[in-house]
Amino acid sequence: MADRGSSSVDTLVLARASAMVLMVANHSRLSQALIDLPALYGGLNAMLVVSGISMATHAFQQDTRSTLNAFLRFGLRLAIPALAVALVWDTIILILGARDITPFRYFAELTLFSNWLSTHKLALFPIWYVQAVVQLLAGLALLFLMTDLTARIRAAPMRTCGFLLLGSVAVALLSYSFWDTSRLEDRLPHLLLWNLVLGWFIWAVQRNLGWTVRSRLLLTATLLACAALLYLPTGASYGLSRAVWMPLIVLPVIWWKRVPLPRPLVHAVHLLAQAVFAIFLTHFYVFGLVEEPLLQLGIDQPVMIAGLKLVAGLIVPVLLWAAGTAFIRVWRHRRISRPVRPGP
Amino acid sequence: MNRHGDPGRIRLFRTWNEADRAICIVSAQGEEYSRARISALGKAVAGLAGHAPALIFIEGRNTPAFIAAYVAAMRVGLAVHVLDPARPADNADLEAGFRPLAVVATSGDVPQVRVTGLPPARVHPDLALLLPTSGTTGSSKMARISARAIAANTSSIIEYLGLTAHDTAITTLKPFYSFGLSVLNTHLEACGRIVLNDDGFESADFWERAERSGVTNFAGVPHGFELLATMTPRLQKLTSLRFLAQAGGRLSPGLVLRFAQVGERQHWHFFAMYGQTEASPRISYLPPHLAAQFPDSIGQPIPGGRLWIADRDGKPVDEPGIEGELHYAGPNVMSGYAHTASDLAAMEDMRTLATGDLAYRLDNGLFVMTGRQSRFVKPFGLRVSLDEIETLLADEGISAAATALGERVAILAVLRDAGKAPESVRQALGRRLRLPAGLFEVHATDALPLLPSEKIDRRAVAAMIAAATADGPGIAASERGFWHEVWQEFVAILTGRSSTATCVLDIFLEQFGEHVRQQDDSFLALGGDSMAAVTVAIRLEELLGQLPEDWPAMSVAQLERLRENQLG
Repeated sequence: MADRGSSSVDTLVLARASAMVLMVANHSRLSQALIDLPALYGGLNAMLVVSGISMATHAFQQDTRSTLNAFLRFGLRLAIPALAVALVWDTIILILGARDITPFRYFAELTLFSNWLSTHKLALFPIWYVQAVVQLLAGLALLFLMTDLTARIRAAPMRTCGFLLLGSVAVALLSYSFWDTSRLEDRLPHLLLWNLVLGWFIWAVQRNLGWTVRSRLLLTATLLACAALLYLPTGASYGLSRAVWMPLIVLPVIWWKRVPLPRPLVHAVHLLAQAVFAIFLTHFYVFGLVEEPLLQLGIDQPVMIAGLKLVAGLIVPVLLWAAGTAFIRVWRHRRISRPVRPGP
Repeated sequence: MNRHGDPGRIRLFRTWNEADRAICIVSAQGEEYSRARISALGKAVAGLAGHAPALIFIEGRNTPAFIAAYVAAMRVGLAVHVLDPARPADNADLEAGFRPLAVVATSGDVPQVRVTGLPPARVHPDLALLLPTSGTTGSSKMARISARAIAANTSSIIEYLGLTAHDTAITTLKPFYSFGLSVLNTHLEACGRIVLNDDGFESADFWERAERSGVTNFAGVPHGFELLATMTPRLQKLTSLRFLAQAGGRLSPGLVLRFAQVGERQHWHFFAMYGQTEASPRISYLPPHLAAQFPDSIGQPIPGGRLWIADRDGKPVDEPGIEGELHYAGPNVMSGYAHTASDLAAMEDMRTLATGDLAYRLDNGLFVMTGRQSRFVKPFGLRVSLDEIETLLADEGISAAATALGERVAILAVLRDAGKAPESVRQALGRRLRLPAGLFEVHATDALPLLPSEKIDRRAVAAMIAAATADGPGIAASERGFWHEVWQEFVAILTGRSSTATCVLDIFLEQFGEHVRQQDDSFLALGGDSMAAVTVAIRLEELLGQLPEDWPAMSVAQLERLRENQLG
């Protein structure tokens, strides 16, 4: 049993876990408490690159139709739970009239386009990510449908994905050149597209060239160049942070298949990587539950509060995920095991 | 000799010498009976010869009276059905259905003939035996065995066992069971001796009797040999033992090997044999010198017989290693079935027998049985042999009977060892068969229901399982409460000791539920996406170690093979 016996972890799994830890750390305002700067952006960008690698592995195996199905499944898996949580929460907010809610904001958030309007959110999780990814997938679905792109990718993965990466970088650069979206913190699909396509490109290079020093150097250069070209010029603090953290999380995927870690850490990474969506959806709610009691206990040092929020924001969702997973596993086993009465 | 038919007709005991003073039977009390004395005892039955061809019923007991009645009936050309005396109600039904000329009671010192007075059924002159096919004597479906068939089968068995007048068998089976009757036929025909006994292997009386009588052989069914396996040192005391013979179902290869090895050490042979009632009953035997090398084999056809594998269309398969239905041809094949008295007048000319058993042939001509055609379940498109499950458990020292419940398997297991809980049996089966443990429903019992033949009583097993299921869900669902199970799994997930997955299929079921329909399904084919991939990959890693790059496209079966290779 690898988890029990192995002391190494798949770098893709590690990248997912790291990206999520970074996101929670960012939202806990740990860096602000430590250095008075928002320096932990980039987790969700890294997550998108990693998702791009996984998606390419699964979505480009057959034809465009199967790719569209893969997009649909990915989008639904992301959107349905997120919308369910948001619907309940936003409705409560609407009834209570809290968080500067207006009917339009309520409508815009739940119809998944509020990321184009402002960074203000009602739901207590980064719903902008769900919105941007769903919009991204919708646009990509249209592109694949019109150009039968899967067949091209299958015929020439590296070349096609290379062109797609160039195109997505160009779209982002053009956008940055002509449209200041900093007030939206660049949470827009066309600015995130290159993250996803970079993941495809990593998959394609590996598929064409294998994991050689040459291919790794090529990918490293591409990754660093994209990050530098697209994050640094924004001037915003999140730009620099993303330019640092996103490559840091993704580079191990390029250079190593697995990395050695102490066994307890391997298990922790596995738990975090599996629970990413639960963490994504619930960590802000946990923050809310943790912060007030801490203040009432007289713990008011920002670093302490941020640190405890980070820990709780990871542990509680992992526990929730484990409970839900345990329930589903046992339930499914029960369904398989349900007694069948023998015939006469 | 048949007074009404062809005097040259081949039949059992045609060389029987009524004046022979040599001992052929030793009663359970140690009293010795010569052929002359047995012949004298059977005179009342022989007196029915004038009615031949006719059918008579004889109560099957391991008594001199039964032997006398049976030998007499066979010698004068009466057709015989041996009754289980413990089933009077069934026997009454059979009597009404087949209208025998007479019923012979054998509980006393002398056979007591009761003429039924029923309108006699017309009986074909070649009919010698009616053997029940289901293992329950209450069944009215009988195999019609001709005199030639039973004589041929007896002769073949004598030949490959090397039986002579110097052999002494001790009865371990009831005579209303075809295997038990076969032991009597062969020893009587070979002019050997039979020690009559009703005690089982667990009885000290059995061993004392066997030792005192100088038995050279005895026979048993798998259930008996499972018991015998725990007392092999006692065999050492049987200094004249020449061989043990096993039939009546498949003995696990592990036990075949064990008995072959013990036999080699103690200087006796072990014959694993295969047969069917429809073949009078012996079909094949595993030569003792090959038992240790091919313990899973049913061996080669008996002398005069022929075995082959047939494909689905019934065409012979020449290549070794190809599974198909086992077919047999030989002079011992029955002459069709009889359900009522009206079926007794005809004898079909059956040359071959489709056994209904699945097997394949080895390069060396031996056959290996893989299961019964009707004894399979197919969860997820994978055929699982109920016989294999029983064999696996027998190898673990667990006597068990498996039966199908839809696509699941219900198991009645004798779990005397406190360490072997039903749950652990489920888990072990899941691991060994690479199937979700949830497919197995295990019910513990003190003993398996057995037929008089000591074969497992499948109908009783089904009834016991139905009763257990009606009382509450099987062990799969009832032993632990749902929330307790959830809590255990929750803790297991957090500690990295999740135990729900015993195989690759379990992980796929966890992820995709009942969308998984067969072992050819892959992660991709099931519509797995990048979000699910992480969980599945981690779970597979837990089970298999490191995964190949293309694991999403690999089928459940391929991933299982990977696991096997890594284990191996």
